[in-house]
Amino acid sequence: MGDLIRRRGLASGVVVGATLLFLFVPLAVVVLFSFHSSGGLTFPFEGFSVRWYEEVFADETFSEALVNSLLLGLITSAVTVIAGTAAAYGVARSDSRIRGGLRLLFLAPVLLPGLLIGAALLTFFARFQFDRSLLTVLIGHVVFAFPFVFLLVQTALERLDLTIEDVARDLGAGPWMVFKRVTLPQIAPVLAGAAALAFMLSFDEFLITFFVIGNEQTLPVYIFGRLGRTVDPGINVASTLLLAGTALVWVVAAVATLRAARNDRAADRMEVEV
Amino acid sequence: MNDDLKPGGLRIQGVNHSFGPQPVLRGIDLDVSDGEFVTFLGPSGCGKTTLLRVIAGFLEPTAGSVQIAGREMTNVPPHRRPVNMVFQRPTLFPHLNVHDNVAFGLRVDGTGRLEIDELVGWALDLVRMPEYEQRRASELSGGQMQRVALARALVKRPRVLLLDEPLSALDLKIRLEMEVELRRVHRETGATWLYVTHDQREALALSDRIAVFDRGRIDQLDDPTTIYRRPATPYAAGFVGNANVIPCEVEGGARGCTARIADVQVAVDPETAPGPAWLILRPESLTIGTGEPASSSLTASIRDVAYRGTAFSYLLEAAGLEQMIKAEVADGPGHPLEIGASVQVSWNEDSAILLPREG
Repeated sequence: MGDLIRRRGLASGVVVGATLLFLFVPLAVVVLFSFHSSGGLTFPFEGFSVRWYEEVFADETFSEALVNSLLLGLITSAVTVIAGTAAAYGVARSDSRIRGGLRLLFLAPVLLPGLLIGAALLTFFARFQFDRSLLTVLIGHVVFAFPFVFLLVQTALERLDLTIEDVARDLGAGPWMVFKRVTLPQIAPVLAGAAALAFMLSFDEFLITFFVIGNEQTLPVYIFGRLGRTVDPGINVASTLLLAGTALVWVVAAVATLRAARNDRAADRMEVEV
Repeated sequence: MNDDLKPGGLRIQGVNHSFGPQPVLRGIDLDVSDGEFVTFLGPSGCGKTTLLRVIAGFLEPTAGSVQIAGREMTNVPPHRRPVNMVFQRPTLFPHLNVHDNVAFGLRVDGTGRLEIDELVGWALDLVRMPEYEQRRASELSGGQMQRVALARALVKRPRVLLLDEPLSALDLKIRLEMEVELRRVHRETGATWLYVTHDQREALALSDRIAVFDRGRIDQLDDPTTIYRRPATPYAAGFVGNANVIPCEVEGGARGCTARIADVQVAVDPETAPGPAWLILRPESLTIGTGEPASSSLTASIRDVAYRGTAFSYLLEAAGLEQMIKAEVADGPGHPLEIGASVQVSWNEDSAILLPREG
C-alpha cells in the first residue's frame, strides 16, 4: 500500500518534472543566448556578452516598439479596468431579467479566436475608412482584454456580502459613497490583479495587433518582423525583454491575488465565528 | 405636543407589503412614543423583519405610510432616514478596523475629525469596548463584533434605533450578558428602540411593549406582563410563554359559570359568556396532588417527567383530552411523582384565562 503511494508519488514527480522542463528549458535557452558573445544561436555556447543588448537598444525601431507596447499596455489596462468594473457592477447589482444575457454578451469575446477578432476589426475599420494606427491597435486590445477583466471583477462582486452595503446605506452613505467607501476597497486587490492581467494580455498580443496596426510597431510585431530579416541573438534580446516585462507584471498580479485571498479568509472567519 | 411628532415618535398606518403574490404584511397600524422599547415578536416568516426593513427604507410598502417624528417617509431612501439599524449578523466592514467601522457613518456625513474621535470614543465606551479601537474586524469574537455594530449605529445618535434579531447569532451565555447591556444602553441613550426577535424570553425581558406578530398582522400589542397574564388570543398565549390551550364549553348555571372539558365540569369566572371557549392554563400555575377532585381540577395520569433544576416538568394525560397537559411544579417534598400515577391537576380560578372560540 505504502509502496504504491510511493510509486505513484514518483510517477507524478516525473510527469511534473518533465512538464516544467518542456515549459522552461526553451525559455532559459532564449534568455541564455541573448547574452551570447557570437552571432550563433546554437550550442556550443561560446561566452557571455551584452553586445546584442547594446545593438538592440541602439535600434530606434526597437525603442519605439517598446515604448508603444508599454503605452498600449497601460492604456488598455486603465480602460478595461474602468469599463470592466462599471459593466461588472451593473450586472452584479442588477435584478433585471436581461442580466444573464448581458453577462454572456460581455464575456463573448473570450470565445472568439484572435484571428477572427483581428479580421473583423480590420474589415470594420476599412469599411468606415478608419486609418490603421496605434489607436486601432488600442481598440483591438481593449476588445480582447475586456472580458477577462469583466469576469474577474464580476466574480469578486458576486462574492461580496450585500448586507454590508445595506449597512453603509443605513449609516447615511448614498449610492456613490457606498461604492467608493465599501465596495471599491473590498475589490481593490482584484482590480489590481485585473489591471496587471490586462497589461500582460496587451503587452504580448500579436495576432489582433498584426491585423490592425499601421506603420508603427509593437514589441511582438518588431520581433516578428526581425525574424523575417535576420536570425541573430537580437531576437533573443527582444524576447527576453518581453518575457521580463510579462513576468514582472505577473508577480504583481500574484501578490495582489494573494492579498485578496487573505481578505477572503478573514471574511470567512467572520462568518464561521458567528 | 403630540407624542408621535417628537423626534423618536413613530406612526405606522395601514402598511401592507408582499413578495410577489405572497402578502407579508397585512394592514399594520402602530404608534410608538419617543423613547419607547417596542419588540416585534413572532416566528420566522411572520413579517416582523419585513416591517423593520420598511421602516429603515430598504423596502417600500405596497400600501400605507410610515411617519417618523411626524415626517412622511415614503420615497425617502435609507441613507436619508433618521433611523439606524443593527443587523442580524454582525456585519462589520472587513477592510476597516474597529475605530473606522464606528466612524463610518460620521465620515459620510462629513463630521470633523475631532468630533469623530470624541463620538467614536463615547460610543465604544457605551458598549464597553474602548480598548478595541485599533483591532481589525476579523480579530473580534461574534459578541464583540455585535457590540461594535451597535456602537456604529449608536454613534449617529439616532432617535430611532432598529435592531433585527441582534443576538440570535450569539451563544446563550453571551446573549444573556448582552440583554443586560442592551437594557442599560437603551436607558442611557433614551432613544426609541424597535427590536425584532423570535425569542419570547428576550421580548419579555427587554420591552416596554411587545407586538406579537401572526402571519403579517399584529395579534396583540401590550406591555409584557399584560401579554403574559392576559393574552388576547390563543396564539399570543402559546407564543409568549408556555400555555395549555384547552377547548371547552362554558355553561351558565345556578351555581355560576362552569366550563365543560370533555366530561368534567370545572368552575370558572362567573362573568364569562356562555359558548365554546379556549381555557388557557400556564404550566406553572398548575399544581399536582393525589387528593380529592377540587372545583377546578382534572384527573390525569403522569406520562413523563423531567427535572429542570428549579422545577419538574410533567406531561399529563387527562381522560377525553386529545392533547397532553404540561405542568411546571416547583421542586419540593413529594416530587417527582412516579410515571403512571393518577393525580389531580388543579389550578386557581383567577389564573385561568378563557377566550371565546369559534364554533
